[in-house]
Amino acid sequence: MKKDSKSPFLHSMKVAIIIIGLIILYAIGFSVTKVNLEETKSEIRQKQLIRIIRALVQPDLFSYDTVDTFIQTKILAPCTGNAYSGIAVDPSNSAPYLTLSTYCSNPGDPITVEGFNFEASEQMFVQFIPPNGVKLTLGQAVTDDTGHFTLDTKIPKNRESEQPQTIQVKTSVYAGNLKISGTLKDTWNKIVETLFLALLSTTVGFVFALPLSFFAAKNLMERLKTDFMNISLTLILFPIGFYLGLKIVQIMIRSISGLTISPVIAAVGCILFALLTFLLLRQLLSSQSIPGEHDTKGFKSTLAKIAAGISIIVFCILLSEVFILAGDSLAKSLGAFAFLGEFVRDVGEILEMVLPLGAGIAVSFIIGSLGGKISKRILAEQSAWFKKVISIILSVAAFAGLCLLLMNALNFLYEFKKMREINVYTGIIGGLIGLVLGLVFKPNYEIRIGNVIYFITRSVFNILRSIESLVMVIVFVVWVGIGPFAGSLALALHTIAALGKMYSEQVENISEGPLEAIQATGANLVQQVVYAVIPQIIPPYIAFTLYRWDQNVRMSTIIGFAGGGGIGFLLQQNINLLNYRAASVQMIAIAVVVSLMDYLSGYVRNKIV
Amino acid sequence: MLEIKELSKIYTGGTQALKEISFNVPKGQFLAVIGLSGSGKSTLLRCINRLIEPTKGQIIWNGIDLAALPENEMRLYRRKIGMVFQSFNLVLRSSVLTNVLSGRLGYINPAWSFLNRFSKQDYLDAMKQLERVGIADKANQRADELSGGQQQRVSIARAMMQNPEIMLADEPVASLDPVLAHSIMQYLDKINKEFGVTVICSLHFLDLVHRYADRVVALNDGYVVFDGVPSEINDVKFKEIYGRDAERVG
Ligand SMILES: Nc1ncnc2c1ncn2[C@@H]1O[C@H](COP(=O)(O)OP(=O)(O)OP(=O)(O)O)[C@@H](O)[C@H]1O
Ligand SMILES: [Mg+2]
Repeated sequence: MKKDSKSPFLHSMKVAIIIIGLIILYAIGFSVTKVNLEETKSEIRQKQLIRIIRALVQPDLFSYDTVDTFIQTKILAPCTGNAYSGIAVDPSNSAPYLTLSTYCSNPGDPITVEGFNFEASEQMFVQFIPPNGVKLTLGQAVTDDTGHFTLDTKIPKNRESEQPQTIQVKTSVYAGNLKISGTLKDTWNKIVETLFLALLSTTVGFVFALPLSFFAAKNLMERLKTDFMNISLTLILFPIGFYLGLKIVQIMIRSISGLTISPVIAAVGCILFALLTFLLLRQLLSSQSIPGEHDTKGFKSTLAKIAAGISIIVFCILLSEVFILAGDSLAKSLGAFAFLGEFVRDVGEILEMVLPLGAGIAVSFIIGSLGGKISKRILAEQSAWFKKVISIILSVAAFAGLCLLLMNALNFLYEFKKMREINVYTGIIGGLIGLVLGLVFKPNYEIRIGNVIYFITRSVFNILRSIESLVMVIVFVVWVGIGPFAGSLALALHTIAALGKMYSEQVENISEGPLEAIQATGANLVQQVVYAVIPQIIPPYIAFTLYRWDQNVRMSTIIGFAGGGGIGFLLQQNINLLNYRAASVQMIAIAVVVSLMDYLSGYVRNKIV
Repeated sequence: MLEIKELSKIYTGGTQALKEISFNVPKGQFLAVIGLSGSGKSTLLRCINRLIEPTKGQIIWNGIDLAALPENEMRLYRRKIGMVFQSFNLVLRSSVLTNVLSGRLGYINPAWSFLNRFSKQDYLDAMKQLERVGIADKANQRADELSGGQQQRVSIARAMMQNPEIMLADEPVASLDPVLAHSIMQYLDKINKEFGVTVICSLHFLDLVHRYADRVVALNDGYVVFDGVPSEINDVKFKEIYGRDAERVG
């Protein structure tokens, strides 16, 4: 009803304006993208295009053995009078032959070389061979469809001779068996490299994205809140814990790897510490202290926890030593399978590399949770004044420290001049921020710290995701050199962000009911995640991981364009060398692999989900 | 004794679902909460165990104000407050046994949760609870293979694993047929009578209220409009609770 009341004139005006607007939009689009139809009609361009397309549809998959044959004729130069008539040819013959416009001429004079009965569209190199045998290329020509070519050239100077001299062309004749071409072999090797590149980067992306995705899920993070004093304490204790954990483990690694020489000692120690860890953990966990109800053996259990932590670390260090040593000796003794030994050693080295970081994070969390206990104890005090003063002192210290840390991180990037002064000012400003916050917030004010974490994680994901791995690889190439390793790292980094985002959206999409029910049992946030969230997200996580692998295969086929290894490297090289028949092989290989991956991942997705 | 004092809830967006509600629930009572859809029943129940943060007011239980506790302490009190839901809220992809065992989560060391490990005693208790609701044979099936009535029984078993002193039930039978509804209500009744658990249950059907409840609190638009024994609900009261145009059925 309402529509009819509008005047039809206004309506058609509106339509006309929209149409004109669209026309203008596309006109701008054409001019901006420099659409040039003249170019597409140009004769030369079309010829080039046809040549490329013809090369592309003749991929260099197989090759014949070829035999070079030489077709020759003779010429007398300089022409000494007694006319030379060359070698007689029979034009009815089907074998290739050459004719010259003249068989007796002087150096520097023009001459036309004609060839008959050659292969169609073959590249011909015409050579001049004086009696001393030093070849001289006169020029090149391409035969037409009937195998005929003409070359206008000149007889070279300074090659005079009494004897007739030779003019020859070389032509390759197929002989023997069909073989797999070198291009196909190279392509195969690079495709394998490409697939593994995608596999590794997806795996690494999965491992990191899995835990991070929970921090980027709003529905989980908004449940995380803590009182203001605890935040100040955590801000102070976290960096200290991280530094301590890092340093202690680094020292432990240095001293232990100094001790162990033989893999046997390392292995025995490894087993011993594994046992010790197991016993300690069992002791700890079986005591089943009920959270919230006071346990009397607090000191003893703390001691046991510390012992267990140290023994785990020692175990890990020894394990990495065993891997490194065993891998080394395996690499030497396995011969063709040396790569297995190298892999074992690399695993050991990775373990040794991440161990200090892991310990830093773990210790910072442990010490950080101590903050919760301390703040609880302070908040239980009666005097409001006391609480307020402590809270202000803590927040001043916390924010001064935070600002100093951030400033020093910036200093690393920008290399400021007067760091000493800047540090003083930063400390003062941070302290002031802490003072204001401490005054504003009550010590027990509940802050939704989860939302802050959510926001930071999401932003990092979004920024990383928006940088294509093709761009990232440039940085990694600088770090680890051109090759598949750089490509894997770039793809892995991009995958972490992309998977992290996709995973976290799955977490946000879970049905809230079970989560609510588990929360109602008194489970803490970690338990809620393990019991209510994880069972719900397993199928979509698998689906997305497979999907991402599929995408990574696609990405890794072109990451080589930027130096990231894989098949793209070969493809780019061949395109640059105008070697389109070889490039065609690589394009076919990419198409085959990508579509196979697509079917495979689709099949597995259907099976699992 | 659970005392609700001037409890208010204003949702972000401005809906005031509870308007300064006050009432007491003595230990061991079977309290029914009735009211129209949107009157604030679910909000009230969820405020009691703080699945929803109350905006104002106190929830005093054994002398402690639950509304004022920080989250990490509230968690410890939640263990003693079981809850069952209209939509059962089981973790559908986990086994029935795991669902029941998860009622113990508040009592175990969280480190065990990564390994999905519970003590032997917990396993025995879980089986006992499943037997009590008559579906011990389904223990190893996945929860989504069960019918609605069976799922609600699992959720009661899960809540009972908490050793609750209060049981909150938000329309526990609204999505079940009448026969099943009675069987579920009987379980709640048994929990109330045998173990002395205080039950606070929101209900839609008055016949269920008459049959099982010791006392009724009726909400309308966030206000308590009735507080008394079920038999006091006469036609006048009924119209006050459900509005002028309401017709009484059943
Ligand atoms: N998460 C929410 N955000 C905003 N408003 C909400 C939210 N949940 C409920 N409300 C509003 O609060 C009021 C009370 O809702 P509540 O779910 O408590 O009612 P109810 O009595 O349980 O209704 P029903 O019988 O349909 O379950 C309603 O007006 C509802 O729209
Ligand atoms: Mg409801």
